[in-house]
Amino acid sequence: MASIIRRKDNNVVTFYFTNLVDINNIDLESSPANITLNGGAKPLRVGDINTTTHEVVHDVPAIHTWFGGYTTYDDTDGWAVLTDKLNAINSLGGMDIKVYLTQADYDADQEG
Amino acid sequence: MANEISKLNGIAITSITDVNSITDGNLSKLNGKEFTGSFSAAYSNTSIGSATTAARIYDDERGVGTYTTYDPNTDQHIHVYGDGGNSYYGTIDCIIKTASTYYRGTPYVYHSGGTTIFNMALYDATKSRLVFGFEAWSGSYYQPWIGTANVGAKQSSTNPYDFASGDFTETDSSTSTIYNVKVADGTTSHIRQMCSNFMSYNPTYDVYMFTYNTESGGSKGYVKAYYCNSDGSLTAGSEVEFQAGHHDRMSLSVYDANISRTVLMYNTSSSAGKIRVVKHTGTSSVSDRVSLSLDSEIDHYHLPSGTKGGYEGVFAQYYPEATAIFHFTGSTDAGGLRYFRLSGSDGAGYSKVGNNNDKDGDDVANIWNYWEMPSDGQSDHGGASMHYVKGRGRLVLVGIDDDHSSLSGSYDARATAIILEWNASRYAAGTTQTAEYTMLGYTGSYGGGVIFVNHDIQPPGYGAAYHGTAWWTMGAYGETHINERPEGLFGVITMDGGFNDQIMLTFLEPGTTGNP
Repeated sequence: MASIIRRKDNNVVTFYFTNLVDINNIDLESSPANITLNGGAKPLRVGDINTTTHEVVHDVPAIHTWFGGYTTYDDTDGWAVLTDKLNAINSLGGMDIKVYLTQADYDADQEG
Repeated sequence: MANEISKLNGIAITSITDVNSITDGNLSKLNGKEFTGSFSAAYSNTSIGSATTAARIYDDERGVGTYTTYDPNTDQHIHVYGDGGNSYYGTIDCIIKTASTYYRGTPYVYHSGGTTIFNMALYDATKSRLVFGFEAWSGSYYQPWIGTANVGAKQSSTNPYDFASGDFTETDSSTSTIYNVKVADGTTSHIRQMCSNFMSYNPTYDVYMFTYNTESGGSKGYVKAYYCNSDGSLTAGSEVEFQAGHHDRMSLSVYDANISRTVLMYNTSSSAGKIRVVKHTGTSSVSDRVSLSLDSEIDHYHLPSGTKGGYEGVFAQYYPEATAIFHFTGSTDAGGLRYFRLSGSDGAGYSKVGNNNDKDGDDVANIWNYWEMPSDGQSDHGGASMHYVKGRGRLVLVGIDDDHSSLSGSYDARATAIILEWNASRYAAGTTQTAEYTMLGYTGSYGGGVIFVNHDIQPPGYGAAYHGTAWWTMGAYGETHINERPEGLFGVITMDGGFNDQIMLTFLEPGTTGNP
């Protein structure tokens, strides 16, 4: 399972974590929002999110490949890829951002 | 202007070695006036750490749109980048450099609203405020932003300052100091910038000049001026359109101290380039400072418009000793170096001096040959960047060869540099500047005077040092023309393919004496 930070207004997932030992490692109340990562990584400070605009959701199903800004997570419908936006940025070249919800999605892209 | 002060209490500036124990090499201003005094340094190029040290690898992921500036007030480098390890969000941190180690502060995300691909930062030492800009994905389009930030003192000699939310607000309120330069919408489509080049500082009017380009709606180029207020907020002028009908996002501004004006450089077709001088209403008020108008368009040369990746690398620099602007030329990639000199006035207008093929403006012949850089359009061209180094009087050119002839195998990319010095004797004799007369360490053989500026790296789990598969130049050594650095140049390039890391360049002191 994973923990996410998503926008309240459109469910766009801004941050995605699968390596949090303690869910209290995400502190949106602090300013800046403070996220303590495992494995010796430096903590992450984020200045443009807060509890007015964003929320933390725990126990979200993990996905295969995630990238910020191109997926939504709805409490009822679950994960969805913002395919139009992903295609739009990749069509400009240079970035080649990949998002796969499942191993099957990844395999299908590799075969394609 | 440099060296406005000639004497201090009757003592010639060149005879003063320090003021209140501050050596003149580290004293940047005196009563608000620029102070250079006498300064000397020998050329050196230093690898920091061993092949396996993590200090050489800035991050665990590729950084896009990287740029570095220096804060002389707190003696820290400040690095901005799109963090490939965190969805390319706009990120900033401070770095302390010692003789053998780099110390990084905690990364602070200043923009998580979308992929942030181009980042620049210029430290304003007079106002003790960082001014930074970026291009970020809005959800459907790219669009430009600008902001300011406070930079605090280092926590210790080995622990840099960590940014907090309050650093990105006005000093007396919680109002954000990050602004959307222009909002992209369904009508205007993308608004693009030229990586590493979209922002410059104009000291005459004390404003930051920002260039951006709309994709649709007439494919227009715009310039806008920003004044940094004492509370850290920015006052913007109205945008001024400088071209229409062509979109390749290749537009930049560079301050020309010879005429005390900002000069725009941009393309108007796939083969044509133009320049324009920007005029300001005056200095009596902030609104006058940011109020712009344009002088007539002048025919010039095409800026390379297909550089690998994000069109990265600093493409133009003003060279005070030459009283001229140096810039890259090319169709796709930087494949040549040219300079030009302007004269005129706001009332009478501005024009180029000479005929583009004389002592006042010419192609710096043979540079690319003796540098041994891939030429315009070659598939292994990894980009190029130029950096005038204040206090040294020298111009550093950095380039990347993704398939260097001296290396074999897949990990065969190399970043190289050359150092140029304006040849005043040639100019006085009425002759042009060529590689033979400007390139330090020139030997008459290809590769003479060329410096290797990338470290070997040893990624975790691999037994040998690697040079990388390919790199992007990005901002390379970053800003070098506003604040004199304490010692030499610092910056990163970013790997493209293979191990996706930001790689620190070797520490280059171009010196005032000595050659590669």
